[in-house]
Amino acid sequence: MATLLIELTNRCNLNCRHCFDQRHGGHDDIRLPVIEKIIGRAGEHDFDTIVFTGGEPTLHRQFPQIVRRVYEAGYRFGFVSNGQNFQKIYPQIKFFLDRLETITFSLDGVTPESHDSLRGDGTFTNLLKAISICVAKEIPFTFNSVLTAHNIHEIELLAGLAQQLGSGGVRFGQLMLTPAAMDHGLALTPDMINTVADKIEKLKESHTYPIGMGPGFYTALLFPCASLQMAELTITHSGHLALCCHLPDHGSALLHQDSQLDLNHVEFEEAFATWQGAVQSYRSTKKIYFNNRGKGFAEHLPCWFCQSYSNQVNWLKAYANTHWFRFIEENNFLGRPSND
Amino acid sequence: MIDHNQSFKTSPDVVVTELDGENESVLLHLGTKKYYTLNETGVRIWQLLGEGDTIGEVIRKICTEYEVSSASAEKSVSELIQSLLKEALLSQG
Ligand code: SF4
Ligand code: SF4
Repeated sequence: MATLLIELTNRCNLNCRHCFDQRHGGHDDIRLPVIEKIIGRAGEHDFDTIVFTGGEPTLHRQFPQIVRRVYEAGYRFGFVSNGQNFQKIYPQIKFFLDRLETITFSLDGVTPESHDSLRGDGTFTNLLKAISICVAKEIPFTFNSVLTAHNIHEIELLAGLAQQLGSGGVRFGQLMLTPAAMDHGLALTPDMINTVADKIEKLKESHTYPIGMGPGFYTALLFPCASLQMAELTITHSGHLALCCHLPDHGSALLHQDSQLDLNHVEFEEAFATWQGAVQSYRSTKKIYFNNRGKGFAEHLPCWFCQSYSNQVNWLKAYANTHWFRFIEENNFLGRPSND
Repeated sequence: MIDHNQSFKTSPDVVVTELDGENESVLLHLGTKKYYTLNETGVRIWQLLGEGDTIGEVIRKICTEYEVSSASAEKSVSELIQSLLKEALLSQG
């Protein structure tokens, strides 16, 4: 069975320092006819779970109605949230929670000071209020922690706090390399990424509590994430089928066929078939590239490979004195790698 | 016998969350990471204690607002205070 990730909106009630450039400062919600199109047909293609993302998905003007429709159509569902709107939205969605898989809340620090310095004043307390409701009402929730240069020293504490607060697990992701991440001094260096990965592995070994590692860390696998395994399909707020939510452009540069992936204009079947073809083609290209020449460290950072392959790292030339630029230069891996 | 002139301090390490439409609140103690649920009367007693009311004042207000006997209010208030003190959600004022 597979998961649909639907970006309900690019609006957000926060303005986090580590958020993608201009990605979540918009004003657009996905249209309801697009949602209906997805709900109507996705089940026939083995999608049984729908996860809402954003921006902040609970801000979609019809969020409770969308949850109700997904529920009535028999899907399991979940959503990723910063928790700031949960106290308000809970009374409107509480009737549908027996099909809730989990709510994934963002936790980026173990103290108000640490969390709030990335996400804004009062956000830690509001998050605790959201999870207080979950605990009292036995609503399943987990945490996602984005590791940055600001909070990597808190990994062990974050795992401990997540467990103490009663979450079903914690997953550590790494901040994607963007100009904003560099400008704010939040980007992880290649060395930090390795150290962080070791720490997470040690935590996983020493805890029975579920601790996960998001995509992007060094791996020998060519297709390490659900998106590249084609077990997860992302749909953007504009109604386009996309590769993944980790890339600033959702991977549209990798899939190429924008208009044929647009659910405002084509039926789900057609868009899904186009998406499958496009992801297969990217997989083949990556395989050939690795057979021919993929050897370096950077190429084995899968999100970096996607970013680089879709020409999303050329901006690094403006950061010539950084670890990443030097590292990439040494590894001869800047810009789109060729597979010949 | 409880001292009706006694007042208390609610712990600053507690996050209080009201559940809209459900007449209850959840208290999370940040030190112990334990959660507690208070019903409507419990929330009101917590609020009054937090505002510095003495036990006697709390009992009087509970009697009036919930139309209960003074004996019943006294029992509810003192039982809740004992529990809150035990869990370090409250301290002697
Ligand atoms: S809550 Fe998420 S979407 Fe909103 S600004 Fe923060 S990182 Fe971006
Ligand atoms: S950026 Fe690429 S490797 Fe990373 S999660 Fe997305 S599809 Fe997978």
